[in-house]
Amino acid sequence: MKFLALLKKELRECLPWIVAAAAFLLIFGSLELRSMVRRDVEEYQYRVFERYSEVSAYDLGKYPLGDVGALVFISAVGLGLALGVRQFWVADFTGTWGFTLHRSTDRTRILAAKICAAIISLIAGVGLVLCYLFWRASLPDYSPVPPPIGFLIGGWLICGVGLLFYLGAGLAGLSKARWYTTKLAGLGFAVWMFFTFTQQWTLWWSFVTLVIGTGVLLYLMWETFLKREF
Amino acid sequence: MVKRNVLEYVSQPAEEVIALILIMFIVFFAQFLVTELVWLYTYEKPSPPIYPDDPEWRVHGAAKYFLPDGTIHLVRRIDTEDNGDYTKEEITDVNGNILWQGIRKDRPFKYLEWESSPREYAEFYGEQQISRMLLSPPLPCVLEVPVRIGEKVQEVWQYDLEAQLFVGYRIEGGLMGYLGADGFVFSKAQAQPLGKFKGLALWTDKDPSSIVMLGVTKRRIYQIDFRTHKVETVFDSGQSDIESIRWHRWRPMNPKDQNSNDIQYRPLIDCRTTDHRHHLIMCEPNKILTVELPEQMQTEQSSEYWVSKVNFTTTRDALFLQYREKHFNPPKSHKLLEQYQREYNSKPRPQSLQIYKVSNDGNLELVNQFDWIRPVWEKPYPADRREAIVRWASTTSPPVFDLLWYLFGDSLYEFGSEGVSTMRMMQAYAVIITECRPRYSLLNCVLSAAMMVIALWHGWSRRTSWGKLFVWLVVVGAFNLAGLLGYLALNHTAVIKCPVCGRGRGLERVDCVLCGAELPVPERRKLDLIFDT
Repeated sequence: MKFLALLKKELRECLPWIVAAAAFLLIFGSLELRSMVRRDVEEYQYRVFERYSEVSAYDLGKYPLGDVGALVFISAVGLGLALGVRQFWVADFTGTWGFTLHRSTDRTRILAAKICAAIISLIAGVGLVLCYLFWRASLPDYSPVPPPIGFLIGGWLICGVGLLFYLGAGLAGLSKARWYTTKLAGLGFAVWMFFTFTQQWTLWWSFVTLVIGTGVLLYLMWETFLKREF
Repeated sequence: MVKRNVLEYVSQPAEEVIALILIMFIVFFAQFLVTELVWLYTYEKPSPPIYPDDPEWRVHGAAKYFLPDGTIHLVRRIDTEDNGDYTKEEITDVNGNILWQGIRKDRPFKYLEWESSPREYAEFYGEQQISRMLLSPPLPCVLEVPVRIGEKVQEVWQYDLEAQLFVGYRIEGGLMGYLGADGFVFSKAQAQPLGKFKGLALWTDKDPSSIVMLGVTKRRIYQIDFRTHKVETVFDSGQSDIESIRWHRWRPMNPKDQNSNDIQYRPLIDCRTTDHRHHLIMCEPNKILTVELPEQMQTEQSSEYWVSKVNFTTTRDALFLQYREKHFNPPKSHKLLEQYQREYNSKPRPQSLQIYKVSNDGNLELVNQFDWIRPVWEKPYPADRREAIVRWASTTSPPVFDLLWYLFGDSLYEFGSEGVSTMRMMQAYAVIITECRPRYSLLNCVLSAAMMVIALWHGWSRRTSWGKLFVWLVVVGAFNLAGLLGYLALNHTAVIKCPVCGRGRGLERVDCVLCGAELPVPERRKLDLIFDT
């Protein structure tokens, strides 16, 4: 009951960011899909090759859904950073940690409510919109060639990247070190894990990288939140 | 409570390790930046290598070509720079007699052309490029081959990465079928996967609307014609894996570019398998010949200049093998390669170029051979200057990398250059260790010792326990500059003057680390509510 109350409170505070991220992705993603309607069909008609010539595989490579992938990335990372700052930095700036912590519940529950709210925000603000855009792009009126399911899986992994940056921002906010020492180490670690994530050859290893990164950050954040003096 | 305390002991070191690793990356980036900036600001355009005008260099520096009857000619560039077809050349025989002088496009002789790695033409996509293009998470690119019938594109074939086959769609919409190992089928259940591509090349022939693809998997080579929906298994290696392929004239040439005076070649693919056999796949007429070379000719497939090379070519009349022997036999350890290269270049070395005819049963018959001496060679390449800068920049690298290179250098190098591996994350770190390791070990150790002295001076008055100070000194010694910066970032605390002994002391412990005196109790003021009872 207490946990649900905390969760509702956190979701209420996250709501403007969820709406902003979802609106951004929905509007610009839809515009991108709209511009893509039958575009690849026209592009194919204009693509003419010479006789007896080599064909570059890069010329035949295509990113399904065009720039939607980049929009998903911006939304997920932006939302993650915004939530991390909102939940862990603003309270420091305004000196309102006391209002957050002075409740008839333990810190673990408070932190769990924050993290759950962030996960729900990423799912609602980015994940579900991505699913809608993918479904839309799979309809025949957009392209005769439907996008592969790997794109949807990859998009959800990018939502995980948003969670990675959220945890990194949160850990940086909770750290009491000076900014020129290790205050931003949490964010630095998130960036490192992100680059490692993009360097993998398979979606499976990307997922493993994400799990390792979020696991380490989650653990450090939990420890810091529990033992820090606010 | 016990579990909580155990986790606390893990979280503190975990934070420190993460901070240390991040600082190490920053140091490596700074090293890279310094290297590039110094190289950029001291850059001088290298003069083209001009070989001394003596007989040995004239012979060694000349390109050696074969006529179809096995005669060897030496072709030497007279111009200081290569001007393509308008480069001035001199052709001599093996005795030094000048046969012809003029510009390249007017050469009166037709020399044999040899197979080459398709990669050299940048039209063959190896495993890494394919993986980067088709597999790169999280949002992979898809390969789609359009098929034009008449004036318009009517079909699109999309490569399904998971199923490892091509899926065909009509441009008006609707699924057409699948192209797998057994050819075109209508249902996915009937389609046999092609296998994971190690390499592929695409081209058009006389019909520009028809794209043909040559795909190499672990044990098969396929040729797929998307217009006719034909999948032909060009070669099946059976039990051994395909290591690499080289080809010659496999892709059809424009008849306009062919001269009737030119040597008539047969299309050839030279497929080398892991059992050191060469499977020569020829067309016109179709034939596959397996050749097992003598042991000294079983060279590694490498573009490095020191590696002996084997090349095949096939004309309408005969199948030839060219063997270039460089007598370079480095030790197995990659760590000793650089030293062996310097020794190799420091002395004259015998070289040999041989041409063989390959019979129908795979036997070799020597047609001609040319031997000469390669003079001592000092290589003035820009790469050497960059390496010299890296040597100095890497003096701040962790000594522990040097130790790892000493103990596991060959394994690290092989792992890092393995190509596509599922352990890509670890591959990158293996490459970082091999590239960022210190080159001047002694200087690196001296610097590390200096860093340890600085850390000891800083930590002497701030220490909370001998064990912690010792561990940090070891870390600083092992990681050099990154270790010192990490130590300072995590341990720089305030120091005050001890009221008893007058020397500096930290505030992380209650008693003075030098005299043992406790911190003075603050004076009680009027409004203090906390007092002893």
